[in-house]
Amino acid sequence: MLKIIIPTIMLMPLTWLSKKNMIWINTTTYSLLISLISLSLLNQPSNNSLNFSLMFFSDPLSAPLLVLTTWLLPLMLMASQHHLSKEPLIRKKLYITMLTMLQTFLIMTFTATELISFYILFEATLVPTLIIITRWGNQTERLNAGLYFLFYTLMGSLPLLIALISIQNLTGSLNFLLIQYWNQALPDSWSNIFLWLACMMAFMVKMPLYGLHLWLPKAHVEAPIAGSMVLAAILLKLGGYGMLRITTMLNPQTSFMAYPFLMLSLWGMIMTSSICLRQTDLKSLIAYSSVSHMALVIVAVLIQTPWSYMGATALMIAHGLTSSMLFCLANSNYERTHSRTMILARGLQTLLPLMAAWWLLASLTNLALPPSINLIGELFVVMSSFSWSNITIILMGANITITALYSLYMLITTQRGKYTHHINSIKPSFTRENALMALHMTPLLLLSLNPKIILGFTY
Amino acid sequence: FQLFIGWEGVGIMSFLLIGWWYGRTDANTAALQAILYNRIGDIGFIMAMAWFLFNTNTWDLQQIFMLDPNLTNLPLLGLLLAATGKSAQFGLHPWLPSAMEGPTPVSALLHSSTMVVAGVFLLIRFHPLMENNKTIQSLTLCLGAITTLFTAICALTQNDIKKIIAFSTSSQLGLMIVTMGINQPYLAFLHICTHAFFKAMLFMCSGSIIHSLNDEQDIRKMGGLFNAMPFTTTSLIIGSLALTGIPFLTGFYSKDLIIETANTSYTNAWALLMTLIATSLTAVYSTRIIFFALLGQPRFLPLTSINENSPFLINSIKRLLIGSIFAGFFISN
Repeated sequence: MLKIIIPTIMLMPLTWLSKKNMIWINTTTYSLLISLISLSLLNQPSNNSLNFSLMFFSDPLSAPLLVLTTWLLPLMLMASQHHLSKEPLIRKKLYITMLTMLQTFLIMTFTATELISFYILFEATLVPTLIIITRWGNQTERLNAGLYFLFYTLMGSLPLLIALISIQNLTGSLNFLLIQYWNQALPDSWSNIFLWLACMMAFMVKMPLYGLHLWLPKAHVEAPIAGSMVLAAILLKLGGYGMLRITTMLNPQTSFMAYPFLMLSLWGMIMTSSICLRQTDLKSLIAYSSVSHMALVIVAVLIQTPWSYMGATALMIAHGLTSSMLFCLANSNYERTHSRTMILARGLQTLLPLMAAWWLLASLTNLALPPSINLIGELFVVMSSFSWSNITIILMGANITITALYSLYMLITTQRGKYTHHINSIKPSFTRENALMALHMTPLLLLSLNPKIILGFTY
Repeated sequence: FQLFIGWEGVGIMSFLLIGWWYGRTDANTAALQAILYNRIGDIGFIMAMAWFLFNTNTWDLQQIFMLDPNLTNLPLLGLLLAATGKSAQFGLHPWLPSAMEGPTPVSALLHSSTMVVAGVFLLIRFHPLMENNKTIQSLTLCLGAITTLFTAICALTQNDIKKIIAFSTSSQLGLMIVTMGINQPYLAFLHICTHAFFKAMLFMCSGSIIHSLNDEQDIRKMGGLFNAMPFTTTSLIIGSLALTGIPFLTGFYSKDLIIETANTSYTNAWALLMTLIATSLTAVYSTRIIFFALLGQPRFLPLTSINENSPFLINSIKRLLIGSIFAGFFISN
């Protein structure tokens, strides 16, 4: 694991010591190489975890997320080149340093063995993200957005600290590997109910759950492109990953404690999808669509069946790639019209057909077209929720319909129809942008051929 | 699972092709409408898949039929919903007339012969399960009957030639669903094959007419094409005759057999009556097309360049024509 962490930390001196015209090239190339190293982790020989040291390990659940994280860093760097081109050199280097710091913390979080170290790194990821959103965001609301983001997440996760410390007292160790063997059923008492709540709330806020999701649209909309990408793709999955790890310790209370959250998720799924239908702001639409997809993951994790865990992990990876790609596309619109309103940049298919093709692919995977991994994730979650209770299929079905509708609505509004008369001065697509979309889409398409890798540890 | 991939794929291709002329707002809304109705049907499909997974432990058709589960109401309802969405049955039908915004060859391929029969095909594939379930059979029968009658009546009042043919497709689909309802999957499949020939030909003929009249689709503005476009006229008349089931053309072999089976089987009398009325209405609206488009005095602008010179168009219609006349004979012998 150090093979990945130390190169990532070394990216920071690399940016500070590079020459002015080489910073982007250096950092992008080296981060791409690091992601190739992480691919070797995907080769898991058995169902047990691969242990590298006392502190780091990787198993079939964290390996795909790790690969996604390392894959995204070069993509984030490529996407940020345009909006940072006018800044002075030191600020560019600072930005890249922030991204790299975030990346390091994320890698360590996904491979942490001890739950306390997981917690510390979980909180640590907030700091660079906050700096990225509030310093380099684009509108004045970014300060408010940063505030919401920080305090929502902190409020949720402080109880988690207390819970973890108390569990450490009780069982003697929070090493994840050992917990598997020491696991006892939690007796049913008031304090244990609070323990369950304390553990789960942090991840519920991060996911986000429907009632606690207010930070998400603000943060996503105000963040610069790399911030949006990493938020949508990875940071939301931290919540999912944490939930998947912690629920193994929390039986049997999950069976009755989960009901209110399941109801909130199921209803929230439909509500946020419906909000998407009436949005005028493109990034806000994608943000709400993230909430909707993550609600599916919450449902899957709370049901706790093998199929639902498979669906949850597949959906996390698939959604990471798709949302990130949609944000890149929205950013390409933003860079040209300097506004996020959808109808200001319509009729693009006539002018930028290749970009329209990427829009089409991204929308199709967003609405979970077979045989993409988005579909596999959603299908597994729908199947398992059907087995949990037959009636949920109606809500899930409604969500699938509305998801299809708003994805295609977004496609039609930005691509089709007659173009506006002020749009004839936009720049054509850069190769960099096309490469960015292709690099998002290729893993998505390749994974449709062999989804076994991302199906997690219950395959 | 593979069925589902193809199912969804066809839905998306439909979206893309209907919205081919993406500058037109109408085309875009029609495409979105198609996806909406298709998706609602897909919920039924997914529900059926989920049920099959948890009660028969498989998505494999062979295994499902071997296990022969009881109480198949829920999945068969799901499949019926899927067929309703895809094949434009009564509850989820508006997308098919709107889909006529697409180019005519698209309509000829997708929305007359191949894609819309996907719903019927689904029911045919699952017919061993349907044999045992009387409730679902009655439901299918009534649904098909209502669809046939309703869309045939709609076709009587339309003025756009493509929409008339679209409603006619919907009506024939209802007929196929009725055939499923009386437990005759093989006849339904036969009707799918034969109907494909003459419906596609009708669409291509109408495309030829529309193109040579310079994109005029309203039949009140056509007329007198009988002498101006002889080949198209011939094929249109033969197609309509085949559609109504005149003996010894293609439609006869499938359609007449369906009507005969329905008459002689122990079935819902009301559904039977509706089907019979709808079949007679088929003749009515087909004659209406012929009357308005071909006969009488020309009602279009005088300076049009009516020609039948494009060999692509003529060759394709020629092949469909031969099919319409002889295919029924060849398939059933």
